[in-house]
Amino acid sequence: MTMSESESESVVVWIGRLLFMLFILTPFTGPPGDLLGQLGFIFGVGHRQLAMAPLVVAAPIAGLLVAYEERRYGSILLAGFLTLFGWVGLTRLSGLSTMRVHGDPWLFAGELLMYISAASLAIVVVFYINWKQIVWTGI
Amino acid sequence: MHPSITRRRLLTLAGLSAAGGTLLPRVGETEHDPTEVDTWNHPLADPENTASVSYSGVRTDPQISWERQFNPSNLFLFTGFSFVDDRLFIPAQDQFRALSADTGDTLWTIELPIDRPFGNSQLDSAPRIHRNRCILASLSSIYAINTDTGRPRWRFDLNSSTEGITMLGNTAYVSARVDSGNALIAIDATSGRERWRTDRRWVPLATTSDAVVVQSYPYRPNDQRLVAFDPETGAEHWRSSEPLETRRFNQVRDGVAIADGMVFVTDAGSLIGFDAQTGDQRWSLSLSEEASSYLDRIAVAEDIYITQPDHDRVLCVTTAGEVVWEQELPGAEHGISVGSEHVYVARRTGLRTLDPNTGETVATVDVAETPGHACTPVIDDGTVYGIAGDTVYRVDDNE
Repeated sequence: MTMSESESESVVVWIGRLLFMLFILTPFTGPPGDLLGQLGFIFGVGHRQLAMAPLVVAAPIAGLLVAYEERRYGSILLAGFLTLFGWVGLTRLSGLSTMRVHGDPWLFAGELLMYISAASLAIVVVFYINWKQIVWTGI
Repeated sequence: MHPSITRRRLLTLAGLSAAGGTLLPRVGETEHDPTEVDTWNHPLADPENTASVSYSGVRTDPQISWERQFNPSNLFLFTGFSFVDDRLFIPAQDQFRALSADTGDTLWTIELPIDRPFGNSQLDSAPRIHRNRCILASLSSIYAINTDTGRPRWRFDLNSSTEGITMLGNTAYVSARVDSGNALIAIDATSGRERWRTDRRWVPLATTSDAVVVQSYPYRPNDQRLVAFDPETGAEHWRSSEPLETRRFNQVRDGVAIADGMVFVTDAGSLIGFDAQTGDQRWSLSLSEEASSYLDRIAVAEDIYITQPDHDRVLCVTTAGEVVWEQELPGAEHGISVGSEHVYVARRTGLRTLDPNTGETVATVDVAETPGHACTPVIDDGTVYGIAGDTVYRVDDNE
């Protein structure tokens, strides 16, 4: 039995969605934040190599493909990128990214709050600003 | 988007989270506390590496209470093991074990690095314990292991393997490459956070509440000196007046101890005494014409006791640098410790108990099923624990 063209497209889209969601979760699974690594030590099981570096490459591509199919995912993707970059910036500014230790619950809490802060800013930037209006009035 | 999530609320959340994320990590910061408990929580008993205690181990008639065989992979890499809360913490290159001191039963075993299950196991340091944290080096990381469970508590990442590790109270001192530079790093043993770091390559050797004594990396010939740093701030106190000859890139069997206001160092066949306050060399005593291939090991109580496995010899030297006695001791290994009544020398087959005043043999214990390298004997009240070859053992007074 073979899949129809629309069915196979649907599978691709869903794989893309899945990878895309994992990309949004990248700070929890891989560099630079490695929040799951922190959690692993806090709960005494160690790091267990939860980092998924290939995902950092694969997920954005999948996300772009999905964005091509479904326009609204493009906004989410952009928010994900901004969250990531904002989070990296905030952790660097606060000195959290220079901490070389996994397993400190206070550092984990700090990194998590920075992620929430970055995500909030990204959502405002993507969803609460009418860029079209700003761009046109600006010109 | 839900109407109650307004832009203002989101911006407020962003601001509060950023502020919390900046402030919250400071909650976990702790101060340097040099307080040491009165147990054998370092490979050589204490941070000063004296390998001595104020109570007696076994006396004239030691009896083997238990013995256990294990795989002592590259045991010669480790200066000793720890004894805390009736548990022995035994290092080997492929595994790290906790044994019950009462029965010799294995409580738990782990392989390091604990979070890289598919690579080779490699333990690079003897255990150092603060409360329920056991600090270990493995490859390019420092680990804190829960002494009750063997589970990891934190990991500090380096950019190279470590060249040496010591600990004082709740601070561990580690030499390694970090952030593209060499450094001596002070790490909080409780949280794993960095307290301070220096900007050069220093190998930590021994520590007191006044000074972390390190050895400099020989960038130039005859420029390898002892250096003392403040344990709390990392400020440099002094550099030794004379250079050393022996390179100590790592902690393999280094003979360095601090006691009686002096730093005693075995160096290229000599024993050298430095003033612990100024770094001035007070005396140098030639122990043998040829330097040992591995450094001679020392234990310090009222006098200094030296074992020279390469020369099958044990010596007693005063803290002023005068030889009191010397004894031939075939099979002597890199391990010597001192109790209130006797000197204990590790041998390839077990243990030799010596009279500290004369060096005469008081008792001999042969226990190893397969003789081999041995570690510093650990002294408890009326008991001595040791490793010889493939055997971990406990001997008690027969009284």
